[in-house]
Amino acid sequence: MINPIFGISIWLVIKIAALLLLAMYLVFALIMVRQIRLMTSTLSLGFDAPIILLGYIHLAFAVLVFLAALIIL
Amino acid sequence: MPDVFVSPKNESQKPVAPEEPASSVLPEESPVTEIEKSKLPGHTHSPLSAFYFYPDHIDFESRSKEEKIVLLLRQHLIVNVKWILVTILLLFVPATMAAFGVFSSLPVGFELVITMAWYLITLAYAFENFLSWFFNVYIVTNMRVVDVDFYNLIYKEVSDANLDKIQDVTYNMGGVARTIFNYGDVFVQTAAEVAEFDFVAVPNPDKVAKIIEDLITKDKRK
Repeated sequence: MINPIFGISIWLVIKIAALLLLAMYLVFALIMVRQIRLMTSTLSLGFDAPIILLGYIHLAFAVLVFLAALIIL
Repeated sequence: MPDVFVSPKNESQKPVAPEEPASSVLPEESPVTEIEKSKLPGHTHSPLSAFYFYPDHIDFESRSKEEKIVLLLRQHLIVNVKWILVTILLLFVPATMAAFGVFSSLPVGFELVITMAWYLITLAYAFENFLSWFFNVYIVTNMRVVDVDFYNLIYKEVSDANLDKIQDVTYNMGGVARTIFNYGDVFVQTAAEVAEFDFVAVPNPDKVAKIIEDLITKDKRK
């Protein structure tokens, strides 16, 4: 068991850092969805719907991991 | 007796037709119907092909109405092997770490979140590589050559050159993998703003170069 420093548990600090990183990742996942939209509007290659769907699945997974970190940690 | 031999006129001799270029890869008329297109070698409907000859259902932002896409290329499928193998290796990392007891010193819940985050990053890595391969394409139309590049998901570059600006088309395919899988680089030198278009690791580079040359010849005849 790691002792608290100045009354703050080290795991709490790690949890906050993890949440911050995952929040930044959420922004990245949103940019990815936006970029896929941009790519498909520039080029229509007959495979747009599955790729857009994959982008949203990635975003949903990122939200799930963020919520899991928020609740479980 | 005449001093100079004059050959008798051969009335049956027909005028010689102007020399035709060596066998053209392009059809005489652009195919319109699906039946006409399906007869062409290299015409496919597979969404993940790297070589489309007269593709269907494909369009790009700046295409004009009378412009027809003759060729759509992307890097050969084999170039994806590297990141696919890396992705497969990354998928086994959490299980390997658990087997070595790396997570045993962490509080309850950390193992689950770290594993989920790892798979999320692995998914992003694979997805980004796939998008990069899928959307970086080279398009040859009956009017111009277009190069569409997406860098790092946040930067896009679209450059083009008209066929009449193209000065030289060369290709190379050195190396074992390139010879086995028949892919290589095609270099299109132009007098346009972009001096050279590099079609990197495209399938059938000889055929690509021939198609572009035929299109240039066809364009000059007009």
